Amino acid sequence: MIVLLIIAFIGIILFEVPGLIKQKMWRDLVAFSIYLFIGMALSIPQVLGIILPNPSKAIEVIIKPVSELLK
Amino acid sequence: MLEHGKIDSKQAILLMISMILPTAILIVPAITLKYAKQDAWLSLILATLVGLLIAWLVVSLSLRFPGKTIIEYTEEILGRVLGKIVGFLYIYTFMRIGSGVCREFGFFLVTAMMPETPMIVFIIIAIVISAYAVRNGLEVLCRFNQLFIPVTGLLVIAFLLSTTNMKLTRLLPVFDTGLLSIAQGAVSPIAWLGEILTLAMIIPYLTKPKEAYRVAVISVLLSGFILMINTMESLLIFGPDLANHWLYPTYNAVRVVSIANFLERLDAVILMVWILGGFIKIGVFYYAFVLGSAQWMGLKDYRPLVLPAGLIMGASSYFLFGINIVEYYSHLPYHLILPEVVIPLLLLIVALAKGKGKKSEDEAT
Amino acid sequence: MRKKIAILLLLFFLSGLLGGCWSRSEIGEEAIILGTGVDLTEDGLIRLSVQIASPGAFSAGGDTSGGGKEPPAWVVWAEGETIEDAERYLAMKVPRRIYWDHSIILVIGERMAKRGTEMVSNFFLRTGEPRENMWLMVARGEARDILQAQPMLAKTSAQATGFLTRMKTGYIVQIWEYAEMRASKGVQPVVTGVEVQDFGEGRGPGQGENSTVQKKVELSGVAVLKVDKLIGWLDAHETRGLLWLKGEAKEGAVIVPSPGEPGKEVSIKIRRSHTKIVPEYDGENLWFNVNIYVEGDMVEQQSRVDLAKPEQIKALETAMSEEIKARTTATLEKAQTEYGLDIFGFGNAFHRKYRKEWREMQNHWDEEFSRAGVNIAVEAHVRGIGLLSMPAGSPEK
Repeated sequence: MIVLLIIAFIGIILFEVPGLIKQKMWRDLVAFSIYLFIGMALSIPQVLGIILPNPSKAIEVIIKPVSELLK
Repeated sequence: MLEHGKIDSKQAILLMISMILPTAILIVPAITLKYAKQDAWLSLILATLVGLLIAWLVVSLSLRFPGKTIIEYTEEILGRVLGKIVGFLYIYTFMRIGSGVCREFGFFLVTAMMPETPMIVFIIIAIVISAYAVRNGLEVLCRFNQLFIPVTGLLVIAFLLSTTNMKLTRLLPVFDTGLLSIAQGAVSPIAWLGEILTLAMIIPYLTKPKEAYRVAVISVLLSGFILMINTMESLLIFGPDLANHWLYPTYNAVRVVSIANFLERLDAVILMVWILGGFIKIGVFYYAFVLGSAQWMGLKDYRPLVLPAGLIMGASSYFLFGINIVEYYSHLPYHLILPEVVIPLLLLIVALAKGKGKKSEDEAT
Repeated sequence: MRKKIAILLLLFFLSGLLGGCWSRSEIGEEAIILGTGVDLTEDGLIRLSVQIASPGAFSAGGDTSGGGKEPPAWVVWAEGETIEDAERYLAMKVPRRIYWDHSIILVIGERMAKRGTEMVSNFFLRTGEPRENMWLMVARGEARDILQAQPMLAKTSAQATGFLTRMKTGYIVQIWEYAEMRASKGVQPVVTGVEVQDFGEGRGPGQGENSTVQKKVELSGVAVLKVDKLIGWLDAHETRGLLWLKGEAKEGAVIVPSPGEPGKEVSIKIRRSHTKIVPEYDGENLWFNVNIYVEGDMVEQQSRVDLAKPEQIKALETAMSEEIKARTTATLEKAQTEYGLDIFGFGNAFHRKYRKEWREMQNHWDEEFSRAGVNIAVEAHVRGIGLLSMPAGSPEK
């Protein structure tokens, strides 16, 4: 599974990066890298079975009063 | 501009319907029936009215800033820092809904049809197909949708066929559950119909942005209507006591239909709408997510972001919503009230107060 | 643009082939279940019996070539703590994947039904594969025996029972209808009863070697459930009353004594009927007006009276309503006094009219129902008298 994931990452990089460098779209390259990094950061731990903290829980704390009211 | 394609109003309406309905037909009836029981139809009428309000809000706001999406004009209204924060919230919302749809999509297929298949397989397929559509732009997504939207009509046919199993007395007594329950039942359909918010990302690419009001209103009305049909179908077949015990009442309702022991097993209809619509729905939010991100970061092109964004959505569909369906349902649908209603309303008020944007919609063309 | 859409289409349709990956199942690898039975064994285990169609017996030539060597179905069972547990043990005996989708009937054994029917229905409604519109029945005796019976005309007992239910002469329920009654507080569930009976030996020519006693399945009355446990039965006669009160007497006949010649009978076949339950409540007294409307054709006459006269038809109609009233009253009394259960759905009718009062009364509805008064009014009409105007062959008097 982890191998497949890494192959997917390499595939995505090979697919997008050469074009970006050729066209000198540096800003886009940075954005691409950031997203790819987030993608990696979210998916690799899951494949390895590490449970990430869930941001929905944080938002829930803010929204809770509303949902309690409606429940 | 990041997107060069243009779509006409009809395409936009069809896109909006495919964007709201596919997951709504299976999940909304379950939640609405749980609260409102036989008054579910009142909940849905209420929800459609609120949906129209949201549509009006979103369109009025967008038309004040012609040629700009919600990510761009929040900055104009609120200033750079605050605007970026709200913009980010919207990008997150699109991503969150998109990955939520991936999850629902996989969950239904795994629960009802193919229990042995790992869910990730369905999610990957859905994301890969949508990624291809999104990379090719709005226009391709719309055309693709146009080819498949007639399938939604099958839902109406399924309803007509199941009328033989229905008993109208199951709607009585009216108002049994009380106003509070009706309002609670309306929350989920409001959240779904409020997804019309995505139109704020698409209005700049309409050939006639002036028709955006019409697009929004027709989309909400048609979606509300089909949602109503589906809820009624399970309510009139199963009655108020049983209908809310199902996880996917519409699916069970069409399975019960049997005409002369011959015309039966209509579950394929639901499955078709679900799979076809699922791709489009994921595609629209995927598109909004990617385009929004590109605008937020001021890129020249959104395409490089498509594949990494797909990864983020796929991974989030797992980790944002917990491991099982009970947890998933517990996350519904109150999150959406903030980005769908509260923020657009505040934005409109601030825009009016500051006198930002065009005064009259007539100049918006 | 065209090309891109074409590629999307291709991708999309290719994804349709994915069904062949994981959850693939070929028809030749499946054991198609026609009927399912659940019993409680004496040591408290759940026994799941299934009737599996043997494909050879259903092939096109099977009937004419007089083969019939292969029995049309195979009944196999396994025991376990729960139904799923039993299914796992079953999977060890069946060399194919168990496929529930075509199961026609679900039979619950008598002992199991006394323990609780919901623990049976739950599995079949929760698992996606069995259909919600399976016919649900309670066996008098063991469910396994029902599945093992070899009926005439139909290949397997499951199919025979399926046909019997579709005739709609008795009271029949699909599993979701049972679930609806169970979920509702305004009606207590009733389920079709079914039993096995012997009918002579052998099965006619060509079946000589099979000399065991033949058994047939028969719908017999209705099982009355309290909450979800079997507490009693209604016989075939009382079932008719139940059908009238539930407004489901769409088929069948009413037999009334002939006007003018009391010893002889006249049969009236029901063509159309409906039932309306009107609750009345004044805060203290609760009573129901049950209005039954029925239309039928006279199909048989034992007496030799000329019935083709308006006043005789009137008399016939009166006799008919008397008869229906008597039947419904008998069933109603049994439900009210013996069982104390609202098996007719009077509670739902009450709920529709008095929604505020219902909120309080729903929790002790069965007591309220037992105390309630019921007025039954039958409006009966004889519509047709068949092809004869006079009893044929009898000289005019």
